[in-house]
Amino acid sequence: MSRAKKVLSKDWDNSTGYIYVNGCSHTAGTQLALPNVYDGYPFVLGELLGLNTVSSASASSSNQRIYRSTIDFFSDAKTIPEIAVIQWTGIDRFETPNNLEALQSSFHISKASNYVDMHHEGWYQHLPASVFDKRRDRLNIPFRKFYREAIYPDYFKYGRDISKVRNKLESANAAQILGLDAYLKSLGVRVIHLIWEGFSKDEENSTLQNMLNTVEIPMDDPYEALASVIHTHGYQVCKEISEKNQIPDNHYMADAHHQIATWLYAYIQYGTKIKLSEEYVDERDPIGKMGSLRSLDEIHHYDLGK
Amino acid sequence: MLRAKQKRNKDWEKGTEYIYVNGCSNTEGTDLSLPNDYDAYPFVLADLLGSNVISSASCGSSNYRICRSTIDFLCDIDVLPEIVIIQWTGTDRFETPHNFDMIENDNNYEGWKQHLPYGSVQTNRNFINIHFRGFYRSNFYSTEDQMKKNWEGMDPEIETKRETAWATQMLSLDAYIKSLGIKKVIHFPFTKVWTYDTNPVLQAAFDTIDCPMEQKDSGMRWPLRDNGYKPCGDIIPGLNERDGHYMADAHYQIALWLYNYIKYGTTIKINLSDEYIQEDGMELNHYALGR
Repeated sequence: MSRAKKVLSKDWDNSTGYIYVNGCSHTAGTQLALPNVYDGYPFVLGELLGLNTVSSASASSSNQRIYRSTIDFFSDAKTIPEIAVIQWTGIDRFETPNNLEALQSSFHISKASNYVDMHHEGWYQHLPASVFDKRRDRLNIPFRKFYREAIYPDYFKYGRDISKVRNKLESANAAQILGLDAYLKSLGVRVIHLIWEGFSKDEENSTLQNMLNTVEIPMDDPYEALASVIHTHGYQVCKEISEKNQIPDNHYMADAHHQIATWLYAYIQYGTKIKLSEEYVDERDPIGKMGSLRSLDEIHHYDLGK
Repeated sequence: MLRAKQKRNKDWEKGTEYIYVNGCSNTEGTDLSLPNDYDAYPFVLADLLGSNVISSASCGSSNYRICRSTIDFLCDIDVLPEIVIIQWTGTDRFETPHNFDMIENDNNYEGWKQHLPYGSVQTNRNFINIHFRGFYRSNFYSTEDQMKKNWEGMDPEIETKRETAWATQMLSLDAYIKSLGIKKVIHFPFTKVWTYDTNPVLQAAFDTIDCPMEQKDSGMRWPLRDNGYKPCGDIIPGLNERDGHYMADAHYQIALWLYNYIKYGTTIKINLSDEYIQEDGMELNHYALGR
């Protein structure tokens, strides 16, 4: 059966243990933002800790994939890692199984793999709100049209205010985090959760509150998005235009990855929590908290042609 | 925020022990097959055990809903149940969030739409699903043959993926419930498990969880058939198809089996013949493939 792809430390040392990491492109890195995959924070952190690294992170992952592929990995692992770091991604994403044969006949193409992302163990990752998703392949175009019209009819409004569905999605993500955390702890693994996009300060969401009180999140403010914290410390995203998508890459680069690794190292070794920069004047666009949706101009420019 | 619906036994005694149950229509019952809600096996089992019961089972549930709403429930209560019983459903099902501005309100699912790509009943349920099924089938299962192959468990690629995802749900939900100090967590699938023999994640899950079935891949349905129980053959109003859910007699049997398993460790046995397997496959094809 198809297992999650794994990237291992370059200089794997059999005499030490390892850390296990999973997440989306912000952990896997992209070719433009992070040409050398070993500049990714999982590998830098592994070096700082004197441990090997196994990363199952994959660009475009949904939280459903992160959850599924992590348990899949552990149910098959011969040795258990010292620490697992799970980076959770956009809450709107989800996955459905690929059927390569059907895709091939549906699109009348000789190689279904041209249109299917093979990195996801045979599961299609749906990114309803992502500016990237539309150009990724033909399969996604009819789905996005359906999904947006039926569920998010006003895309601009969705970008600014997804309150109608946000509490549900956050609650579902909190349930995933609780479930995965309990499973990994039952195996004796220390688990650290990174929340890329942050959570609403919704005190009535008991699943969210329960999760925040139960699991280990290394942030000073557990609701805060890791993406925002990095931004307040002055790190910039890669603005190079992706040849495939014709849009800016928008992922953090090696300098930010090294910083994340240092933060995590300080947290693991000394319990130091990750904080927003005190010097930062908050200029964050509320849309920025939704990850890929950087600005309305960008959405207009790159994403609205049907 | 919207929580999973909860149905309690009629004579709920505040402050006493209770069992918690979640699942799909096979646990909730349907109007036709189970006109009296309290004939459903969770309520009968609670009577047998002398306990109370809370059931969050809901027709059309996906395993994603069952997993999510169980954790939701356990995060929101003061008194933990003594026993949790999880009935797992079809692995093709999944959920997406509702936007109530656009979609007719379906209060059974806490604001989530349950997608049943193969469910014959769902075609008529509401407009969003008609569009979705059209999309889903044409893109993922473009021919009738492919759909049949999936229904019959003949497409190992798809079945393995789905059942792996389900196995990860079982493992994590089981660990979460046990982490709260609930010692007795019973899991069982209702329908046959297709890839048990070849799927290491599924085997790891069944090695970890407490499943009352003697033959892990049988599901609850086949012991019922083996023991002569018949599903409801009444035609669903407005739909040209049978209800297809088991009735009160079968629910009482499930309750009794579960009682014996909890009290004495007696597993639920199955003695399938090839005839049953063939019949089961034919029934699925006949009743579940209408577009």
